[in-house]
Amino acid sequence: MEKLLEIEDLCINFGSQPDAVRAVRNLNLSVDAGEVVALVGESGCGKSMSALAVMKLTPPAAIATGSIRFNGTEILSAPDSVIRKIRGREISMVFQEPMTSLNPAFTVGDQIAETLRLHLKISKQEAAKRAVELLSRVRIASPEKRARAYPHQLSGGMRQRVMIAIALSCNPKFLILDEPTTALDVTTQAQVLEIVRELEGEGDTGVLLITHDLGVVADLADRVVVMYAGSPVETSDVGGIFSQPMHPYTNGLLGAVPRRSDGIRRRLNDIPGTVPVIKSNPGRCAFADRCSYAADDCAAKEPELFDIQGGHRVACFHPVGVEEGAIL
Amino acid sequence: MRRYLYRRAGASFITLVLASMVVFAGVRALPGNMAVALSGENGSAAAIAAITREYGLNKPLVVQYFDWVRQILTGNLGISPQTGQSVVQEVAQRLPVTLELTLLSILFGVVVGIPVGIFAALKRGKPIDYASNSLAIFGLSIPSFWFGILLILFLSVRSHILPSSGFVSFFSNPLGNLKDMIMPVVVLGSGVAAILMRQMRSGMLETLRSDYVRTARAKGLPERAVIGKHALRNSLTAVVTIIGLQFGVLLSGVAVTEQVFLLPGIGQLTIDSVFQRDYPTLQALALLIAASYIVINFLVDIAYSLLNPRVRLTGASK
Repeated sequence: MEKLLEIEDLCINFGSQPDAVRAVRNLNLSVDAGEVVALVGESGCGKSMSALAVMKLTPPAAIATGSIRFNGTEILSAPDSVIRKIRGREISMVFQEPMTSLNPAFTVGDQIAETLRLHLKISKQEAAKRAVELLSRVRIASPEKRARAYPHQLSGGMRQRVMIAIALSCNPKFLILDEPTTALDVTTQAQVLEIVRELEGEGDTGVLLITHDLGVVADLADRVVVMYAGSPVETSDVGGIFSQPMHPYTNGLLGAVPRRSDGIRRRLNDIPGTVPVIKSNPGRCAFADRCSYAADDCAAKEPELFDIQGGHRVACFHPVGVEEGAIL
Repeated sequence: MRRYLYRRAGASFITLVLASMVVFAGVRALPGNMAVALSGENGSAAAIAAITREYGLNKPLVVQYFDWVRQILTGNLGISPQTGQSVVQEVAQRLPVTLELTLLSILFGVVVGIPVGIFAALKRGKPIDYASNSLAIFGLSIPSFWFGILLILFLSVRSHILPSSGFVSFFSNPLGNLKDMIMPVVVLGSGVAAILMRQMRSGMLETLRSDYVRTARAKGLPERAVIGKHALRNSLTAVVTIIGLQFGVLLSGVAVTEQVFLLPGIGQLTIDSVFQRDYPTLQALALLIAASYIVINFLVDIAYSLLNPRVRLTGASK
């Protein structure tokens, strides 16, 4: 049975070979109906670029190769007319920047109704009515009044809920949440996550959740793909990532999460250095310079994903907690 | 919205009063003197004194100013000493010519500049973008008198397609009137088109990069709606401001073009009045231009608030 979304060997480069800068390399990922897959990594690792590729919204300079199949349609080669019927109708996306993602010149009610009218071919009145219903579904108080508000009259949390209302308007089969809570304060974050959780409880929508917040991952995700510098470095079900992180990078990420038992005096663990800019074929492990487990072989060859146990895959020659020589 | 309009109207009125003072003071500060200018090279002292008395030029300036304000309020701006006609009549005869020229030039600028600007933004970095940019620089930098003379040379003198100069009223001969207007409108309008094209292009490029345009695409909207609705509305605000400013610039700057094409508009009248030190006409013209600036600004603000809800609502807030 084919999955709802299947990404195979997705590569996204900027510029032409051989000086191309690579944004994403060999990403393989699938999301089933009703499943939440989290794409985790720090800023600039290619998470958002991968998500935009699913909507075919990557910037014109980006060159995407590989395959993204959604419900039987090959996205990367589909003509615009086909893509436009998928966008907003079958696949919706909630962006990271609630403050700027809504058009300042139109009321939020109009902006929700626009999607409804476009895809469902319903009357103006009907669309306006449904827009108000959607606003109350994302828990906006006095939705009739808010529907007539302009984005600048709403807080960031409310705007993000409006974005979610737009995304949910046509009951999409697949939802991409690109750091939906990053720009929000903690209380609003919790409310937005509550809406997403509720959505998961009620339907068979597939969700691709992009985040660097491991708390959100633990809360919502079924499976996790950890990305570093454009490449997937570890994939597993959510339990495996938290109980037995094998890639030194995942291990470092989890080590950087503050714990209550640490007390206030301890300095947070961090991963030294920053994400490097990767040319298309580095020929070495991109994480090696920041890795405390790195050995000579890490600089000689770029590791591929290995299945270590039961679908827990790691791209590392020296995975954490796995005995040396256990993999070849 | 209504409160916003009242506030803006009040502010416009105060500006107009201040402008009238500046106009009055400015005209009186011109070197020379109306009485001397009018009585000619060898005017007698008695003649000068008579004119001085007739126009109240011997009274204190403050009194003269209030006399003038009273005249404005009664709608009688006095008699022009250079023509002997009433100033109101004189200006009313000339104004339609200039107004027509200005409006048609703005229209030309809008019709040419805005679509080309949008097109250039969409085809950024392509040959068509470079071509329209070069054309815009040409339109901006070419002096209007020279461009006018070139047009006359090629379209009138060489090929007799259009009349080189002169003017008939639109109501007596519509076709002839439009023929008279083509060249002056192209001369004045090409500058406007160039400015609007540049502004439209950069505004469009900026909005095309914005997150809400990405959202519009993510909704599945066709590119026509993404550009024509979501991007255009937001990039128009700056363009509307510039259209308003250009209207003012043209109204006060048509003198050269009117000279070149011998159009009897207020530009010509202004030049004649300056040379004659015709205070009543000059004051009326300067005030008229100032008032049109103010009215246009008011209209621009209204247009602005219609395009941009943030302006409207902040203006109306408690």
